Amino acid sequence: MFIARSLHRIFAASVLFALVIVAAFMDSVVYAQSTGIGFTPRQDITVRAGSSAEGALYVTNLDKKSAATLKVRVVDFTAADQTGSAELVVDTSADPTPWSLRPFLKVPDTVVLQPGESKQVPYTIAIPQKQGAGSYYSVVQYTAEGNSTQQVTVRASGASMLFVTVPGKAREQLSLRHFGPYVTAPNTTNGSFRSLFIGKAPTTIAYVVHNNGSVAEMPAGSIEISNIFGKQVRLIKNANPKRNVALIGQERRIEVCVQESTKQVRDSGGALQVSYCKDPKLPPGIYKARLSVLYGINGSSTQEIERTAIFWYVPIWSIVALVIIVAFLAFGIFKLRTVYVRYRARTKA
Amino acid sequence: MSFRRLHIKFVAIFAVACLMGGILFTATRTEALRFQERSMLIGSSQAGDTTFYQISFIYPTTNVVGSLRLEFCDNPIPTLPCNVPPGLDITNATLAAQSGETGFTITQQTSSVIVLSRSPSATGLTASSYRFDNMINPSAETQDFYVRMTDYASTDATGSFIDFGSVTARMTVPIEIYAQIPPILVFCVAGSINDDDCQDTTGNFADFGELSSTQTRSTSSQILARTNAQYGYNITVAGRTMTSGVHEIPGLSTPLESFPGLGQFGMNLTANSQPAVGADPIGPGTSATIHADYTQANKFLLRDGDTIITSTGVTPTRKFTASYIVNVPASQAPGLYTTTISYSALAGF
Repeated sequence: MFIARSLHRIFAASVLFALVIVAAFMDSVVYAQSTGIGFTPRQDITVRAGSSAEGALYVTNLDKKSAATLKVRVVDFTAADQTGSAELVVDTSADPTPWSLRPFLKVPDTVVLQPGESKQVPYTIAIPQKQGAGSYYSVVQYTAEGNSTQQVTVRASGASMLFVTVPGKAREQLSLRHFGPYVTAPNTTNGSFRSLFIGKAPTTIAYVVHNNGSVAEMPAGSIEISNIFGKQVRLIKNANPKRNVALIGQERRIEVCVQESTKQVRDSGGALQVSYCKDPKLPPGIYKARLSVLYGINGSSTQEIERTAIFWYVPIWSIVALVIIVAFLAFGIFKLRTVYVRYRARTKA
Repeated sequence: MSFRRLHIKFVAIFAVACLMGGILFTATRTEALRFQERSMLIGSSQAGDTTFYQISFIYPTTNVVGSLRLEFCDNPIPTLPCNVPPGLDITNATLAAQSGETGFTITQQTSSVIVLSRSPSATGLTASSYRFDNMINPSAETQDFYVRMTDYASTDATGSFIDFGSVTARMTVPIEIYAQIPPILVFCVAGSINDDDCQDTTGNFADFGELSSTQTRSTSSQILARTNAQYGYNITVAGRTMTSGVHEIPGLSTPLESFPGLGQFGMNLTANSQPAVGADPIGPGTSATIHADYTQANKFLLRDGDTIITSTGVTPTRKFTASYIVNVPASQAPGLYTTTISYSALAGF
């Protein structure tokens, strides 16, 4: 009896101990997946029809503690608005866009990165012989795998943009919609074109083009600003310094600084040269901006866009000075007239 | 002449002078005729390669032409100084083929200028093409360059030009495996990011605790991004409101205050006081802007697919805090309500 009771106690203790171990194990099996990645933001390449190209995209797991299993897939995108913001076509059942790389691009299905590991994700692009000249683009998206039953699970994904140009005769057409000084509203990516500046001189000039062709265009050229006497006061040598692209069918706004400057910013990733638009310090007056840009892919016709825009820069102090000068002149003319009238009267007498 | 008549004449002359000045200032100069259907095909668009250039165009008139001048520059505007793209060298170029208007030979040649000459004869309105071998591309990757073309009646490109026009070409980045880390976009999302490198993060979830019909529940997560690429980045949010089986808590689709007792789920990216949750962004990457709807303190929303953060160039580290709030009515069905919020980072274009 005593032995049976002892055995029973030992058995119960063992079961309890086992349950504690299992429970502890379950608590410590926490779902862990890296949430930090670094990756190649964009690549532009040229591949002729009938040929193929191989390349690689850099991906790194920034997390030093957790591995990352990334699902890799090719996703199409369109323009979200007039800026360079892309809208991914997330519906996997949707037909490829006319400019999709999905039929031509091969990437691995998954990439596994150990904590802190970097890899080159290889890809192959094969363009068929009869494929028309033009632009083809998609993103290669990396998405962290895994499930969670937490109330709010946060996930990170990144995507590298791939732009492929197939050289040759293509349909290229950019229509210029607007050109001139541009003012962006605070905390937005929108703004408006203006031609009269009273407070500060314009720091940004922009042009809006609509792409009616089959090529994602990257216009290149210059903008010249001259004063009322035709003297050049500013030359913006590169009218597209950030190599902005007008996607097929997009109405794209490209902004440039009237006077660009750079400053060095210390960052955890190293020292970065950050560009910004500085005050161009234009004297008051009427100005003419002349846009001259070209576009056209290798082997296709070069098209050009030219436009001029007039703008006024009339700061408050110049208005006050002008009023004072005009008042002074008016007073002077009045006094002269008075003197002249008296002189005539004296002479007649 | 009376003073009055003198005054009237002065005003009239001044007004006419202003009008003439305005007309002269705004009038564009008379444009000479441009070569039509201009294009340039280059054999290789990789920086530094020795390759061929084939320039094609249609003469716009039937004038007598004795020479054609090709000048390679870093901008297309004829009135601006021509700077030779670094590395470009056409000193050893040869005229390998010509069609249309033919009979040309190279009579002048420097590292950036070629003059073709022939016995002066009238041009036809036919397509002409000239292929040059042994052309050395500019050495800078992503360098745009232009060929300014002018033709002359003389045989040595002197005198006034008859027609003009430019063609453009662009160097591309070769596909290669990077040993270093050139352009990169760094991005991470976590419950808490404890450094500026995404190497030390805590959790990929955020918890509200037990939901209440009398009190707003709130929590937060963090987002960090930086890029050394000129394209900048955009961060989009994807996700829906919290659900438990078929039951869901209504999501906010427009910015709205938190009201305990109402069914609400939303987020923002700023510091709030009601409830006290979240923080303003920190870090030197101040050019990264938050969508206006997500910067309103004490107002929350979540729209699937919104671009919530945008930067337009090289952007140092910026850390954002996403604040989430949830309210439930007393009638909310019991259960474990969860959601997954996915943040995607993408370069600009």
